[in-house]
Amino acid sequence: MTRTPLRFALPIALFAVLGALVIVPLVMIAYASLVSAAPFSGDAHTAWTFGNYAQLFSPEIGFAALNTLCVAVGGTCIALALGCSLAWLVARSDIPAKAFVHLAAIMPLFLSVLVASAAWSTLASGRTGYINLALAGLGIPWLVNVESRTGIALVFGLYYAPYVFLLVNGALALVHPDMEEAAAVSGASIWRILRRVTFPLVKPAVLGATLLVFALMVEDFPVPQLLGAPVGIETLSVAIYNLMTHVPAQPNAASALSVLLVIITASFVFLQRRALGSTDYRTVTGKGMQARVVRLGSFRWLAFAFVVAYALLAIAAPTFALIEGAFRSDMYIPSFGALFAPSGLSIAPFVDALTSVDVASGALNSLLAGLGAAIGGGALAFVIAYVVNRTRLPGRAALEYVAMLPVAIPALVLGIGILWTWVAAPVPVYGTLVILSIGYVSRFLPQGYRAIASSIAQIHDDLESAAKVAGAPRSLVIRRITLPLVRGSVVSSVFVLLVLSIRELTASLFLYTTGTRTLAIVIYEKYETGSWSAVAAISLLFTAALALLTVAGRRWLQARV
Amino acid sequence: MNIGITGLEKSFGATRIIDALDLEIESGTMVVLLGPSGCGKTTTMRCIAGLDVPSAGRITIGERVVFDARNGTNVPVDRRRVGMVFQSYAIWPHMTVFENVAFPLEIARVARTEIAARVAHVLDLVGLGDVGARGASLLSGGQMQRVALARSLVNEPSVLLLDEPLSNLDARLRDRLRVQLREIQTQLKITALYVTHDQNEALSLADRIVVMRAGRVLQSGAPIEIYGAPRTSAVAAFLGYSNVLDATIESTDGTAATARLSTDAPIHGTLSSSDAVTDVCACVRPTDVRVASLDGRESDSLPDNTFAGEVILASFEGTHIHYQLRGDDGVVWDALSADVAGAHRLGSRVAVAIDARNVLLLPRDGVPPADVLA
Repeated sequence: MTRTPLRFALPIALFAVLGALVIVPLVMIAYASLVSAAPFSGDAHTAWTFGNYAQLFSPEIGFAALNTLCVAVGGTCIALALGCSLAWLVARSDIPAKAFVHLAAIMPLFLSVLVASAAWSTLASGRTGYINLALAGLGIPWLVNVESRTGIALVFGLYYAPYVFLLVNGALALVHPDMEEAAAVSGASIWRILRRVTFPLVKPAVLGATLLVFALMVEDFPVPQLLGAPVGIETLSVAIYNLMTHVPAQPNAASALSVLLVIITASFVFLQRRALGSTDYRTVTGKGMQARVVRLGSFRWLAFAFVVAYALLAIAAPTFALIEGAFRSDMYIPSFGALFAPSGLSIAPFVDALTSVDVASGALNSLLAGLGAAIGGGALAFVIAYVVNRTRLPGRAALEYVAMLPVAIPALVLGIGILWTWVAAPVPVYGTLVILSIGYVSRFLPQGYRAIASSIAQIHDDLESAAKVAGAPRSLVIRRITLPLVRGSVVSSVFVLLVLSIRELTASLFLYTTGTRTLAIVIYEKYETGSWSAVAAISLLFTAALALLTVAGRRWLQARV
Repeated sequence: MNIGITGLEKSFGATRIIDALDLEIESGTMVVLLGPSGCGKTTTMRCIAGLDVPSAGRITIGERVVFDARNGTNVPVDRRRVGMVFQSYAIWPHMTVFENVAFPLEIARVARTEIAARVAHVLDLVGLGDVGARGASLLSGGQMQRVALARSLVNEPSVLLLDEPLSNLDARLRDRLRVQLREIQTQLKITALYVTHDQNEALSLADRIVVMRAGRVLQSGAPIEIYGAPRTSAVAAFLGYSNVLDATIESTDGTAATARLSTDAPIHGTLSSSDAVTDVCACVRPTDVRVASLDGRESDSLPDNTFAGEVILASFEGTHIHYQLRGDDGVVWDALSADVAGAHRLGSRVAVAIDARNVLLLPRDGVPPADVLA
């Protein structure tokens, strides 16, 4: 048992930290939505008002809401179809090259949606989009255009499918194959087993994945901004951004719209929790289950072709576009064949782009802010996870709730909230990399917390009790028993936080200043100013570095843990 | 060192796990807490170790008060100097066997050379002299159990607590380790508290058995004493009296009595106490139920305590045959017969006979036998 003073000191300290990271930013937004001037703007005539909400009843916001609904529903359908089929093929079928299929299903996660959107805008917009050039070359009179609602939904679908895949594949792996075999022995056909046994068992996961990706698409900013803005398609998140950044800025209207967006995403996240939490079908977890393999017969290669097509669209084509863009010196491309003509290619633009000062300082900023967030966030996540799962300290249930709260907050809103929280704070973090790190910790705390908490929960209490009985005080138990046992998941969480932080764009947009541009910001700014070869070159470097970091992290883990 | 528990109570929310428990464990003896799961026996042990905090009461180990609700004394778990073997063994998978066993000594800042000697000694004691360098996650269940025991003994704890230490092992290994455990305990003369739901384990290990139910002690005493004279039907049911039948006393003559079963059949038996109870249970061990052929005898001309019936289950178990017999009045008897040669077949008509001195008429305390055997 913890001695009394510490009993309250630790939870209070943790609530203070989480308050600054999560609660205060939300309160700032809510406050700004109800007054007539931005927080800390120095405006003396601040008054309470509902006018900001009244302002939302405009045709523009109505259209934005409709656009958001269209692209999120369309994107969710595509992501579900892709993710579920891939998950089932990997978990239950005899599809060839399963390792490749598995890889193809998660690879798109390495491409940040910012980079993917930029790549797709060169692949499929206007007559000079690479895909359109190819179609023209083949004599097909179609133009594919991703700068449209359909295009945004398609890009959403392609790049959010891995989330569905991971959740559904995880659920399928937990369904004991005996249950499907029992149905087969009872005389059920494959389709019948799927409908009556498999699907009902993974239904909570499918439902959870649906709600999750829907909420993610509703709040997504880079995709609709890059693909929609050029043709005037505005979603709610883009509308918030525009209200904040266009002159004259309307921060209070932006706040009101933010509150609305938080309510939407939070209710979907809440429903998702309910879907995943209400029924626990897991019968046997973990080791050594040999899943029943369904023979696809003649569909085997058709299924494989489907996977190849997905890999081509989600990974190969954008990568090609990036390489093409990074090494192209001649911007005029008359035909598809010209893409491969050596005369139009050169290493110069690539070298130029990468040797610019922007890139060097951007990379350094990304790395430093990311490292700060990964180490700080990992440590915070461990302390919270430990307190929640291993102590009887007061308020630990609320602690977990607050730590998971950012899942329900759109990154854009979080960015604005954190800006307002720290811009006037007595500690001078605004304008430094620290505020970016703070933003990343706040945004990705749920991911870090969940991974570490679940691995702590998996450690049998007795292992720690045995050390206490052996005479070890709590601090020593943590150092000698708990930490070594969860080291693998703590280290992997730190890596995940690092990668997520380096990729982050949306919240960073409100937290960076001229001296603290991150690589993602640099890419975004180059895209906005139309320097395509710089965008492509930096994106290539960026993606390669992130992939390398992920692979290195995995290697390190496998070697050490 | 002896352990003294007085007025111990523990509640989780509204449910009371331990209810006004008094228990005295004499120095150097092994006491076994026996009871069904959820009876509070493990919680009692955890309260002694300091892993759970009682709601009320007082616990002493030797002369030292480790817990007293009245003045707020609560010695933290790491200062109580107890040894404990967990049901899950709790062997740390990231350490070697040596490191696991050395841990308590390391915490106590024992010198490195002495640690090596003491770990080697205790590993020898449990019969694991040669596996010290091995990673703990590679051990078999029996080996883990021994490592756990070695770890709990290595720092010469004042008392040893064992929480169903053998329940995850297979039957043969369990028997062997049980004997070893008793040998080590008597050799070291250590005070031990052992928790189990297995009556055989309790009978063979204990100096004293404490039968618990619903957070209370039903009966405590030496194994032979408690086995021969259970005080109530619930205790009898725990200790292997598999026939526990409701009955009502009709007449008594000293300790001899006649009762009627719920089927109205008369049964002669022995009263355990002079208490004037009429609602009793007739408790009979399966080995005391004799099974004989009816040989054409009329069922209404049978002697006292003999019932006509039919074999509904006959299961050969090596040294004996396990029967279930349904009397013509519907009562089902459980019997173990050593007469393997003269086996009765399924469906054959038999006479079920029980000596009156083997029928214990005990105060009924409302535990259905099925609940106990589960």
